[in-house]
Amino acid sequence: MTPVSDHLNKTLSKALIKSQADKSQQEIVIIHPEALLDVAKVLKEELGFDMLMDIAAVDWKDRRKERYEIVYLFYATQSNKRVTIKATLNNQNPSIASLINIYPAANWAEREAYDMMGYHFEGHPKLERLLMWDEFEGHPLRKDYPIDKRQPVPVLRELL
Amino acid sequence: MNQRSEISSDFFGDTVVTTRLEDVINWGRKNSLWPMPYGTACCAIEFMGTVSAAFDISRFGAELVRFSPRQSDLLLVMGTINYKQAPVLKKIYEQMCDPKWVVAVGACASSGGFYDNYSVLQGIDEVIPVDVYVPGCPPRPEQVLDAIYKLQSKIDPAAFVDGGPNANAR
Repeated sequence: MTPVSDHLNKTLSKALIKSQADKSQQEIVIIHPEALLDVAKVLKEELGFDMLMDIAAVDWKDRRKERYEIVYLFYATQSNKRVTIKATLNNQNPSIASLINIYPAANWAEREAYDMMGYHFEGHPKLERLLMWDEFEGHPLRKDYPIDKRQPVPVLRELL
Repeated sequence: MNQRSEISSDFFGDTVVTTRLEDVINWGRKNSLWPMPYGTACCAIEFMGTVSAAFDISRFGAELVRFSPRQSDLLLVMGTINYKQAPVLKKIYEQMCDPKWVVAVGACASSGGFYDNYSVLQGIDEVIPVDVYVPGCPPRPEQVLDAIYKLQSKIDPAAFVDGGPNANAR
Protein backbone atom coordinates (compact mmCIF):
# COMPACT_ATOMS: atom_id res chain seq x y z
CA MET A 1 0.00 0.00 0.00
CA THR A 2 1.76 3.09 -1.25
CA PRO A 3 -1.02 5.48 -2.29
CA VAL A 4 1.01 8.67 -2.08
CA SER A 5 3.90 7.48 -4.23
CA ASP A 6 1.49 5.85 -6.68
CA HIS A 7 -0.31 9.15 -7.08
CA LEU A 8 2.97 11.07 -7.33
CA ASN A 9 4.19 8.61 -9.95
CA LYS A 10 1.24 9.52 -12.12
CA THR A 11 1.35 13.28 -11.65
CA LEU A 12 4.94 14.16 -10.72
CA SER A 13 7.07 11.20 -11.69
CA LYS A 14 10.19 13.36 -11.97
CA ALA A 15 9.94 14.43 -8.35
CA LEU A 16 10.12 10.94 -6.94
CA ILE A 17 13.37 9.21 -6.00
CA LYS A 18 12.01 6.27 -4.08
CA SER A 19 9.35 5.28 -1.61
CA GLN A 20 9.30 2.88 1.26
CA ALA A 21 7.24 1.99 4.29
CA ASP A 22 8.33 2.11 7.89
CA LYS A 23 7.62 -0.56 10.50
CA SER A 24 4.06 0.63 11.01
CA GLN A 25 3.39 0.54 7.26
CA GLN A 26 3.49 4.33 7.12
CA GLU A 27 4.67 5.67 3.81
CA ILE A 28 8.02 7.44 3.42
CA VAL A 29 8.62 9.21 0.10
CA ILE A 30 12.05 10.50 -0.85
CA ILE A 31 11.92 13.35 -3.37
CA HIS A 32 14.20 15.76 -5.19
CA PRO A 33 14.43 18.96 -3.10
CA GLU A 34 13.60 21.25 -6.02
CA ALA A 35 10.24 19.47 -6.44
CA LEU A 36 9.11 20.13 -2.87
CA LEU A 37 6.57 22.85 -3.64
CA ASP A 38 4.91 20.77 -6.38
CA VAL A 39 4.76 17.74 -4.13
CA ALA A 40 3.32 19.77 -1.25
CA LYS A 41 0.62 21.20 -3.51
CA VAL A 42 -0.37 17.72 -4.64
CA LEU A 43 -0.38 16.47 -1.07
CA LYS A 44 -2.61 19.26 0.14
CA GLU A 45 -5.01 19.71 -2.77
CA GLU A 46 -5.29 16.20 -4.25
CA LEU A 47 -4.45 13.81 -1.41
CA GLY A 48 -6.00 15.64 1.53
CA PHE A 49 -2.88 16.05 3.67
CA ASP A 50 -4.10 19.29 5.16
CA MET A 51 -1.76 19.49 8.14
CA LEU A 52 2.00 19.90 8.41
CA MET A 53 2.86 18.19 11.68
CA ASP A 54 6.56 18.95 11.92
CA ILE A 55 9.79 19.59 10.08
CA ALA A 56 12.90 17.72 11.17
CA ALA A 57 16.50 18.34 10.13
CA VAL A 58 19.10 15.58 10.15
CA ASP A 59 22.86 15.92 9.96
CA TRP A 60 24.44 12.62 8.86
CA LYS A 61 27.97 14.08 8.83
CA ASP A 62 30.38 11.28 7.90
CA ARG A 63 27.77 8.59 7.51
CA ARG A 64 26.48 9.90 4.19
CA LYS A 65 28.08 11.69 1.29
CA GLU A 66 25.30 14.29 1.29
CA ARG A 67 25.07 15.01 4.98
CA TYR A 68 22.02 17.27 5.29
CA GLU A 69 18.54 15.80 5.16
CA ILE A 70 15.17 17.41 5.79
CA VAL A 71 12.07 15.49 6.85
CA TYR A 72 8.49 16.71 6.54
CA LEU A 73 5.69 14.99 8.45
CA PHE A 74 2.21 15.45 6.98
CA TYR A 75 -1.15 14.39 8.34
CA ALA A 76 -4.59 14.09 6.73
CA THR A 77 -7.21 15.00 9.31
CA GLN A 78 -10.13 13.50 7.32
CA SER A 79 -8.66 10.11 6.46
CA ASN A 80 -6.33 9.84 9.49
CA LYS A 81 -3.37 9.10 7.21
CA ARG A 82 0.22 10.17 7.63
CA VAL A 83 3.08 10.50 5.20
CA THR A 84 6.76 11.39 5.57
CA ILE A 85 8.54 13.32 2.85
CA LYS A 86 12.34 13.36 2.86
CA ALA A 87 14.83 15.28 0.76
CA THR A 88 18.62 15.48 0.75
CA LEU A 89 20.17 18.94 0.61
CA ASN A 90 23.37 20.32 -0.79
CA ASN A 91 26.49 20.03 1.39
CA GLN A 92 27.78 23.54 0.65
CA ASN A 93 24.48 25.39 0.78
CA PRO A 94 21.65 23.37 2.34
CA SER A 95 18.71 25.19 0.83
CA ILE A 96 15.12 24.33 -0.04
CA ALA A 97 11.95 26.24 -0.87
CA SER A 98 9.82 27.52 2.00
CA LEU A 99 6.48 25.80 2.49
CA ILE A 100 5.00 28.83 4.18
CA ASN A 101 2.60 29.76 1.36
CA ILE A 102 1.07 26.28 1.29
CA TYR A 103 1.35 25.37 4.98
CA PRO A 104 1.57 28.45 7.26
CA ALA A 105 2.61 26.11 10.09
CA ALA A 106 6.01 25.87 8.40
CA ASN A 107 6.90 29.36 9.59
CA TRP A 108 8.47 28.66 12.98
CA ALA A 109 9.49 25.12 12.11
CA GLU A 110 11.63 26.46 9.27
CA ARG A 111 13.05 29.17 11.50
CA GLU A 112 14.03 26.52 14.02
CA ALA A 113 15.68 24.42 11.31
CA TYR A 114 17.58 27.52 10.21
CA ASP A 115 18.57 28.36 13.79
CA MET A 116 19.72 24.90 14.83
CA MET A 117 21.03 23.45 11.56
CA GLY A 118 21.64 26.39 9.27
CA TYR A 119 19.22 25.32 6.55
CA HIS A 120 18.15 28.09 4.22
CA PHE A 121 14.51 28.36 3.15
CA GLU A 122 13.95 30.34 -0.02
CA GLY A 123 10.97 32.65 0.18
CA HIS A 124 10.65 32.65 3.96
CA PRO A 125 9.56 36.17 5.02
CA LYS A 126 11.53 36.26 8.29
CA LEU A 127 14.30 33.70 8.38
CA GLU A 128 15.78 34.70 11.75
CA ARG A 129 16.85 32.76 14.80
CA LEU A 130 13.95 31.36 16.81
CA LEU A 131 15.55 29.80 19.91
CA MET A 132 19.09 31.15 20.08
CA TRP A 133 19.80 34.83 20.59
CA ASP A 134 20.87 37.08 17.75
CA GLU A 135 24.56 37.28 18.74
CA PHE A 136 24.89 33.49 18.66
CA GLU A 137 27.43 32.28 16.13
CA GLY A 138 27.03 29.01 14.28
CA HIS A 139 24.31 26.38 14.33
CA PRO A 140 24.53 24.24 17.47
CA LEU A 141 22.87 21.02 16.31
CA ARG A 142 25.26 20.50 13.43
CA LYS A 143 27.51 17.57 14.27
CA ASP A 144 30.65 19.62 13.73
CA TYR A 145 29.62 22.34 16.18
CA PRO A 146 32.25 22.22 18.99
CA ILE A 147 30.50 20.99 22.12
CA ASP A 148 32.53 23.20 24.46
CA LYS A 149 32.27 26.37 22.36
CA ARG A 150 31.25 29.36 24.47
CA GLN A 151 29.14 32.23 23.20
CA PRO A 152 28.83 35.87 24.32
CA VAL A 153 26.29 36.32 27.13
CA PRO A 154 23.21 37.99 25.59
CA VAL A 155 21.88 41.34 26.74
CA LEU A 156 18.31 41.77 27.94
CA ARG A 157 15.93 43.02 25.29
CA GLU A 158 12.86 44.99 26.23
CA LEU A 159 9.71 43.11 25.38
CA LEU A 160 7.56 46.22 25.14
CA MET B 1 31.82 59.26 83.66
CA ASN B 2 32.63 56.79 86.37
CA GLN B 3 29.81 58.05 88.46
CA ARG B 4 27.39 57.76 85.56
CA SER B 5 28.31 54.19 84.72
CA GLU B 6 28.00 53.24 88.33
CA ILE B 7 24.56 54.76 88.44
CA SER B 8 23.46 52.96 85.26
CA SER B 9 24.83 49.61 86.44
CA ASP B 10 23.07 50.11 89.74
CA PHE B 11 19.89 51.08 87.98
CA PHE B 12 19.83 48.56 85.12
CA GLY B 13 21.75 45.70 86.70
CA ASP B 14 22.80 43.10 84.08
CA THR B 15 19.86 43.83 81.77
CA VAL B 16 21.97 46.09 79.52
CA VAL B 17 24.69 44.95 77.14
CA THR B 18 27.05 47.49 75.64
CA THR B 19 28.34 46.94 72.12
CA ARG B 20 29.19 48.75 68.89
CA LEU B 21 26.50 49.94 66.49
CA GLU B 22 28.09 48.02 63.57
CA ASP B 23 27.98 44.79 65.54
CA VAL B 24 24.31 45.24 66.38
CA ILE B 25 23.37 45.92 62.79
CA ASN B 26 25.39 43.00 61.46
CA TRP B 27 23.88 40.76 64.13
CA GLY B 28 20.44 41.79 62.93
CA ARG B 29 21.36 41.36 59.28
CA LYS B 30 22.87 37.94 59.51
CA ASN B 31 20.04 36.55 61.62
CA SER B 32 17.19 37.94 59.54
CA LEU B 33 18.12 37.15 55.95
CA TRP B 34 15.18 37.37 53.59
CA PRO B 35 15.82 34.88 50.85
CA MET B 36 14.51 35.20 47.34
CA PRO B 37 14.41 31.78 45.67
CA TYR B 38 15.45 31.83 42.03
CA GLY B 39 14.60 28.21 41.42
CA THR B 40 14.88 26.80 37.92
CA ALA B 41 15.49 23.10 38.57
CA CYS B 42 15.60 20.30 41.13
CA CYS B 43 17.71 22.26 43.63
CA ALA B 44 14.61 24.37 44.26
CA ILE B 45 12.82 21.21 45.39
CA GLU B 46 15.56 20.71 47.96
CA PHE B 47 14.98 24.29 49.08
CA MET B 48 11.34 23.40 49.79
CA GLY B 49 12.64 20.70 52.12
CA THR B 50 15.08 23.15 53.68
CA VAL B 51 12.33 25.65 54.45
CA SER B 52 9.87 23.05 55.72
CA ALA B 53 9.63 21.65 59.23
CA ALA B 54 12.08 18.76 58.94
CA PHE B 55 15.09 21.01 58.35
CA ASP B 56 13.57 24.38 59.20
CA ILE B 57 15.67 27.21 57.85
CA SER B 58 13.93 29.54 60.33
CA ARG B 59 16.27 28.21 63.02
CA PHE B 60 18.85 30.38 61.27
CA GLY B 61 16.57 33.35 60.82
CA ALA B 62 16.13 33.03 57.05
CA GLU B 63 12.60 31.67 56.85
CA LEU B 64 10.83 34.72 55.45
CA VAL B 65 10.90 33.79 51.77
CA ARG B 66 10.07 36.70 49.48
CA PHE B 67 9.19 36.33 45.86
CA SER B 68 10.15 39.88 44.98
CA PRO B 69 13.78 40.95 44.64
CA ARG B 70 12.90 44.35 46.10
CA GLN B 71 11.93 42.80 49.43
CA SER B 72 14.82 40.40 49.85
CA ASP B 73 18.54 40.57 50.51
CA LEU B 74 19.61 36.97 49.82
CA LEU B 75 19.38 35.62 46.28
CA LEU B 76 19.37 31.82 46.22
CA VAL B 77 20.04 30.67 42.67
CA MET B 78 18.93 27.06 42.53
CA GLY B 79 19.13 25.35 39.20
CA THR B 80 20.40 25.50 35.66
CA ILE B 81 20.79 28.99 34.23
CA ASN B 82 21.07 29.05 30.47
CA TYR B 83 22.51 31.85 28.38
CA LYS B 84 19.15 33.32 27.48
CA GLN B 85 18.19 33.52 31.13
CA ALA B 86 21.46 35.10 32.24
CA PRO B 87 20.37 38.73 31.57
CA VAL B 88 17.12 38.07 33.44
CA LEU B 89 19.04 36.81 36.47
CA LYS B 90 21.30 39.86 36.28
CA LYS B 91 18.30 42.17 36.24
CA ILE B 92 16.75 40.39 39.25
CA TYR B 93 20.04 40.85 41.10
CA GLU B 94 20.19 44.52 40.20
CA GLN B 95 16.65 45.04 41.49
CA MET B 96 17.66 43.93 44.99
CA CYS B 97 18.58 46.63 47.49
CA ASP B 98 22.02 46.76 49.09
CA PRO B 99 23.31 45.05 51.11
CA LYS B 100 22.66 41.83 49.21
CA TRP B 101 24.18 38.39 49.02
CA VAL B 102 24.08 35.55 46.51
CA VAL B 103 24.30 31.81 47.10
CA ALA B 104 24.82 29.52 44.10
CA VAL B 105 23.03 26.34 45.13
CA GLY B 106 24.03 23.15 43.33
CA ALA B 107 26.40 22.17 40.59
CA CYS B 108 24.51 23.91 37.76
CA ALA B 109 24.37 27.36 39.33
CA SER B 110 27.98 27.03 40.48
CA SER B 111 29.60 25.70 37.32
CA GLY B 112 27.01 24.67 34.75
CA GLY B 113 27.04 21.13 36.15
CA PHE B 114 26.96 18.40 33.58
CA TYR B 115 25.32 20.75 31.08
CA ASP B 116 28.61 21.44 29.34
CA ASN B 117 26.92 22.51 26.11
CA TYR B 118 26.03 25.38 23.84
CA SER B 119 23.06 26.72 25.78
CA VAL B 120 23.99 26.69 29.48
CA LEU B 121 25.86 29.36 31.42
CA GLN B 122 28.95 27.82 33.03
CA GLY B 123 28.29 29.20 36.49
CA ILE B 124 26.28 32.27 37.48
CA ASP B 125 29.46 34.09 38.51
CA GLU B 126 29.82 34.96 34.84
CA VAL B 127 27.06 37.55 35.33
CA ILE B 128 26.66 38.27 39.08
CA PRO B 129 28.98 38.11 42.11
CA VAL B 130 28.54 34.98 44.26
CA ASP B 131 29.21 34.79 48.01
CA VAL B 132 28.78 31.08 48.73
CA TYR B 133 28.85 28.07 46.39
CA VAL B 134 27.05 24.87 47.38
CA PRO B 135 28.18 21.65 45.68
CA GLY B 136 25.87 18.74 45.02
CA CYS B 137 23.40 17.59 42.41
CA PRO B 138 21.12 18.41 44.09
CA PRO B 139 22.65 19.32 47.48
CA ARG B 140 21.16 17.96 50.70
CA PRO B 141 19.12 20.45 52.75
CA GLU B 142 21.88 20.36 55.36
CA GLN B 143 24.25 21.76 52.74
CA VAL B 144 21.89 24.67 52.05
CA LEU B 145 21.75 25.33 55.80
CA ASP B 146 25.54 25.17 55.91
CA ALA B 147 25.65 27.78 53.14
CA ILE B 148 23.43 30.08 55.23
CA TYR B 149 25.74 29.46 58.18
CA LYS B 150 28.83 30.26 56.12
CA LEU B 151 27.18 33.37 54.75
CA GLN B 152 26.38 34.54 58.27
CA SER B 153 30.00 34.24 59.28
CA LYS B 154 30.84 36.27 56.17
CA ILE B 155 28.31 39.00 56.99
CA ASP B 156 29.38 39.31 60.61
CA PRO B 157 32.70 41.15 60.30
CA ALA B 158 31.62 43.26 57.31
CA ALA B 159 31.31 46.96 57.93
CA PHE B 160 27.94 48.41 57.00
CA VAL B 161 29.45 51.79 56.19
CA ASP B 162 31.74 52.48 53.20
CA GLY B 163 29.39 51.02 50.65
CA GLY B 164 28.56 47.78 52.39
CA PRO B 165 29.83 44.26 51.95
CA ASN B 166 29.41 44.22 48.18
CA ALA B 167 31.48 47.33 47.60
CA ASN B 168 34.42 45.38 46.24
CA ALA B 169 32.31 43.22 43.97
CA ARG B 170 30.90 46.13 42.01
